[in-house]
Amino acid sequence: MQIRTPDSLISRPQDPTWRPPLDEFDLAVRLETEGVTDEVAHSSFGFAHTLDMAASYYPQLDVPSASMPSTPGESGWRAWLRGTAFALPMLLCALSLMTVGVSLWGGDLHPDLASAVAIATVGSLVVTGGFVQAMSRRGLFYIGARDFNMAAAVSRVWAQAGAAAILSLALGGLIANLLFAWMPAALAGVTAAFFVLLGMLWLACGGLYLVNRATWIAGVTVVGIVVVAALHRGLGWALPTSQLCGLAAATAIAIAGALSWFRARVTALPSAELISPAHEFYQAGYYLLYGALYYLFLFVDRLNAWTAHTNASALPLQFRGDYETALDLAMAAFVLQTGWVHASLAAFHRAVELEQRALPAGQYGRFNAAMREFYLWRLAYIAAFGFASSGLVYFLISRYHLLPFANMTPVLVIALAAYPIVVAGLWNTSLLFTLGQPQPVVGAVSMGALVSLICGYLLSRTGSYDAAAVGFLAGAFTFAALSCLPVLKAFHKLDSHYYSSAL
Amino acid sequence: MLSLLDLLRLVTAFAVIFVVLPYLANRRKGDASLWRTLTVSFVQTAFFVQISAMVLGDWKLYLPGAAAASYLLWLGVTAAFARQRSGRPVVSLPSRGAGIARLLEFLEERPTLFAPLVSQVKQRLNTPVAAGAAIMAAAVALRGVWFSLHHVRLQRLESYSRTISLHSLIRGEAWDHDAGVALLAPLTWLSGLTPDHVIRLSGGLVAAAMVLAMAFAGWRRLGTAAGAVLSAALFAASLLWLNMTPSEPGGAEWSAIFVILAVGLAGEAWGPAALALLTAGLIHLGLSPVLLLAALALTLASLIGPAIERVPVAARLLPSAAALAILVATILTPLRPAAPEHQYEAAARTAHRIAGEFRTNDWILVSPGLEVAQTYGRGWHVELADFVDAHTEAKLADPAFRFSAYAAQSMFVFVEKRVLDQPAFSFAHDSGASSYYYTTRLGRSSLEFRAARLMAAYVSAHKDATVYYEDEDLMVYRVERSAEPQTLSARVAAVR
Repeated sequence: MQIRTPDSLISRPQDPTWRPPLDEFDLAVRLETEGVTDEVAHSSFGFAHTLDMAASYYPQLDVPSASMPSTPGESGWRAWLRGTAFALPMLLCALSLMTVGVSLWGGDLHPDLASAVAIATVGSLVVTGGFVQAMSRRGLFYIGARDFNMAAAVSRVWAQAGAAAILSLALGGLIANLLFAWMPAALAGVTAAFFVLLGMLWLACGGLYLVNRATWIAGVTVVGIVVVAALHRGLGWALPTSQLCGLAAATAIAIAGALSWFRARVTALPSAELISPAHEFYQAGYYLLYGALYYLFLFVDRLNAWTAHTNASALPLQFRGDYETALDLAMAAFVLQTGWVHASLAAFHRAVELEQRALPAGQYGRFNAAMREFYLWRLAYIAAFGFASSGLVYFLISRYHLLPFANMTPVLVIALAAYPIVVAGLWNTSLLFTLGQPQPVVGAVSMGALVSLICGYLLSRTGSYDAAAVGFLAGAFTFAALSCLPVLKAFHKLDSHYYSSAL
Repeated sequence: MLSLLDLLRLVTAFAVIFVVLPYLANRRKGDASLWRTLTVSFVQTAFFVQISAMVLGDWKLYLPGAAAASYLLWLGVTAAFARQRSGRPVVSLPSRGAGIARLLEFLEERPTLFAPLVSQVKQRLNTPVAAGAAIMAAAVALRGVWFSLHHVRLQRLESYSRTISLHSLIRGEAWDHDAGVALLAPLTWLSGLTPDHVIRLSGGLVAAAMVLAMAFAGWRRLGTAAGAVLSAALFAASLLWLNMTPSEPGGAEWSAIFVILAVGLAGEAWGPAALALLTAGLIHLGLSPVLLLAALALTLASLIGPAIERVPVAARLLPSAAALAILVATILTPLRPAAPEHQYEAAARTAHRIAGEFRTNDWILVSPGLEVAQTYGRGWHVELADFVDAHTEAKLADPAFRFSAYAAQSMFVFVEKRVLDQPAFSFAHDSGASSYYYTTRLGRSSLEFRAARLMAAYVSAHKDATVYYEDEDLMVYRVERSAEPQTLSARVAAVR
């Protein structure tokens, strides 16, 4: 019988998926994985033990790291652009509002309708945020493993769960409105319609993001805006009706875009019984929670401001256009800053690879120290860039008088100060997710939301409604600080965390 | 039918806030008595709500968010202490693995969440006694709210001021301590009813709570099921017979519940008994006549009870017989004569209709002051006396005249065609103009006459005035303005 040479003894330096063994022990493990036990090493290869065999072959396989091809990486700017893709619909809508005068949602509406759209927008983001996170996490896992059938199946499960949550909450909200009479029935209907369609759009955009079709997101937003403009400007339809039609069109195209990508790759969709809700929740439960809590954290100050001092208002929740304008202008800086989180994460993976090559396997202490240094430098870099971009945005707003409400300048300044801190928290979040540690992130973001809620609530009730922004700043500090501590802790044993997260 | 649904909402809110959640937080493993735990939980929660409303109300912070947060914090602390008394650690969050395992088990098997609790309650509940007491309580409660189920207006003049007090408390406005409404604030939020509805229907709650408290006191003091049923039955019968069922209860009636509970708790649980007395004192410093009936019922029950206990058949039949007797008494006892009207029923109903039909805070109601109770927080109000004093017939007859001082889309003017009968006060009993207009026949007649003339002059010269409601007693005029609320762009343009 001919004895086959084990794969682990064959050097393949040109294969990008192959890595040389770290040392003779690593090679011994690889051999044993292939079935070369001590007995096989003795009987088939003439060595006393597998370890002897590994020690004998290791020098032949010890390829210098420099000769290995490196993983092709995204350029910094490209990664930054990809990191800002999530904000494309909002950016395009803002741009369209400034130039054409119409947008996919919001705009120049009656105060009651503006409040309805505002609560629908925030509500839809909070409800779908978790499902989009879970869908992306689970879908990307299978797409990375090139198992498109399972990727399609789990994505469908999470998308359906998200859609069910949206529809049931809309129905529940309408019934609750019948009992509590928060708003007139017709307005409640409009709110529910915006809530459902916006929620579906976020889910569909999440699907497009999952299949790496960020440009489609821009495309569907533009199509939606064109539909709104055509119906409102061309046919003279009411703006809310036109926007609902535009949202429906954008959602339909986004769903089609995500489905077509899967259709081209899926050979046979696994049976629905194979997807266990318990297993899915176990795998993505923390990400589901994080997605919802993150949007709650981002918007809880608005909810505080909108519900403060409403005794003389028509609705218990009053959209404050002046407060929102200040925050939306600051949001421009936030979008610029957030892009660097994605870019920094790509840089982190490259740095890990470089450090792993540069250092011998036993030097994990130096590896951890080098990566901790990398983390702190990146944090400083993100903070410096963040505050600089906030300063630039403030300068532009002041220079061109873009904020029409002078009394909201403090809100603008507070938001511009808070967003870089939030971005620092997001940097920590992305690292902890990479290391497979979502629990501390959920704790940090929920504490951030709670601090923002309590501080903002008390300040906006005892002072004026714009004091809710101070709560947001306090929440941002809490989120960044509480997410930083577990990162520092994890970097003490980064080698171990990084290895286990890859399993 | 709608009022019955409102009553159900109020009872559900009361049960959730004061009974179910506090009981779930307070229950311990191996609790000897379900009723005792329920009562103690109720007393503690009522005391806490009373104090938190008074403190936060003083700071104008008794708003839904702050009240809900303080209540949840209270439940958490209660649960922690209950755990400590059970010998379990105060805080023992399940380990990550155990927590996830429980959640996964729930996702996979979907067990009935409340099944163990329901079976536990069933095991420790003397069902015939509980059912008998519940039927008696429901009968007395229905009797208490009978008027309110058929009318929208309030019966007692104090109820109007208590409604305004409740409005002020729950809207974070300046609030003069009115401990009688503090317990109603969370009920208003959770039931979604307006404060005047809550005040109107709270009679049912208080009546039922009194009968159930009496059953508890009878059980604790006399030590038998027969004692509990007899005490409750005698108390309920005396309330019905003397027509003393609370309909729009004030502080005295609320306070009586806690005094009765203190009597029941005394001896075995001195702490909660003292707390119940303290709560009663905070609500109302004084004794309600109802307490005399309670004492009499307890005494009579202690005399008759042992005799019934000696005959097993009688003891077994007692709960159903007592419940039946009270039901029959409820039906047969004549209703209390109607209280004098302080407001036309049509005026109260029209005020509610306007509040439901038009955009909140976009209309003004011009009427005598009592309609404020029905419209507070939903629209603006101008006293009819001020309106009459501010205008002349000649001015209103001018076609160019507009009610520009009132910045609202619609204005409704209530004019009484047949002046509401007022208590026969002399016009000299109070020198204030308001008092003269609203509490003397002469003053009110003159006011309504002038208002009718003013509106007739306005309608003759303007097309924006219509009759919104009319019957033989009342006419409501509607005057429309064409002012649209500003959009954001209009506000920006104004700022620029």
